[in-house]
Amino acid sequence: MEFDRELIVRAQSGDPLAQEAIVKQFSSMVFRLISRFFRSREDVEDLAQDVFLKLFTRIDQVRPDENFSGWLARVTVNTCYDELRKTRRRKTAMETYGPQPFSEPSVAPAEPDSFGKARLALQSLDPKLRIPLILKEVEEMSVEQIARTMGLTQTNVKVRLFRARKKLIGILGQR
Amino acid sequence: MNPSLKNFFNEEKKRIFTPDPFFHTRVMARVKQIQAGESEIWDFIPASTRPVFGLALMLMLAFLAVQTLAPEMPERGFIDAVLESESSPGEVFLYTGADVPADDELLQLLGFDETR
Repeated sequence: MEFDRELIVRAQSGDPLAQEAIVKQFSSMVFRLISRFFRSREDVEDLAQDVFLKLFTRIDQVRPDENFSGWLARVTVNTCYDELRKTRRRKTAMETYGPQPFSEPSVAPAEPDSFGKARLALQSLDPKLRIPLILKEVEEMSVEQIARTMGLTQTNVKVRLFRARKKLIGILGQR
Repeated sequence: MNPSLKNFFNEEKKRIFTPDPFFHTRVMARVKQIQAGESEIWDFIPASTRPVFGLALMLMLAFLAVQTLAPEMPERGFIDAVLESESSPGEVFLYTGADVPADDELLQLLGFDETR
C-alpha cells in the first residue's frame, strides 16, 4: 500500500518511470477485468491501453491515500460499460438500417451447445444488467464491492442482479 | 441457478487474457505521444491557479471586446454642430448641459437681468 502511495505521488508529478511501474503492476488486474466482458484478445488489449491513458490523464484526481486498485477497477469497468453500450448501439443500428441478408441460408445454422446458449443469452443482456452479474458470478465480488466499482447503491446493485438473473433464465427458457 | 449457467460461469472464470511482456512499452509510447501533443500554455501554470487565471483572462478579453466592438457615443454629432451655430448662449446652456455658471451669469443667460 505504501509502495502504491509513493508510486502515485511520483506519477502525479509526471515521473515516467513511476507511470511505467504502475502499468506493470496493475496491467494483469486490468486485463483480467476486461477479459470478463470481451472475448477477443485485441479488444482486451485496446481497452486496457485506453484504461491506462484515462488513468494518466486523470491522475490528478487520485488521492494517494485512497484504495488505488479500487479506483482503477472503477475506471476499467466504466470503460468496458461505455464500449459495450457503443457495440450494442452499433448492432441495433445495423439490424435496423443495415443491409438485409442476400439470401436465406439453405442449411439451418448449427444449434449452439448449452455454453453457447448461455453466452448468447448473456450477450443479449443490457450492459447495465450484464456487468453487475458478471462481477458477481465470475469475478466473485460482493454486492458492496460491485456498488463501489460501479458507483451505485447496494440496493440498486441487488435490483440489477435480480433483474439480470430473471431475464437470463427467461431467455434460456425460450431457447 | 440454472446448472448450465453455473457451469458457464465457472468456465468463464478460467478465461483470462494476460498482458504480453511489451504491453507497458506500448502504453508508455501512447502516453508520451499524448503528452507531447498536450504541452500548451496551461502546462506552465500551476493547477491550483488555473481557475483564477482563466477568470482574469476571460474578464480581460470581455473588456477588450467591449472596448473594441461597442460603438462610442459621439460627443457632438453633425446635427448638433449645425444647430449650435444658430443657437444663443442661453439655448446652448439649456440643451447641452454645460457646467452651471454663477448665479448672476445664469440669470443673465436666461434673460432675467436684474437691471431690467
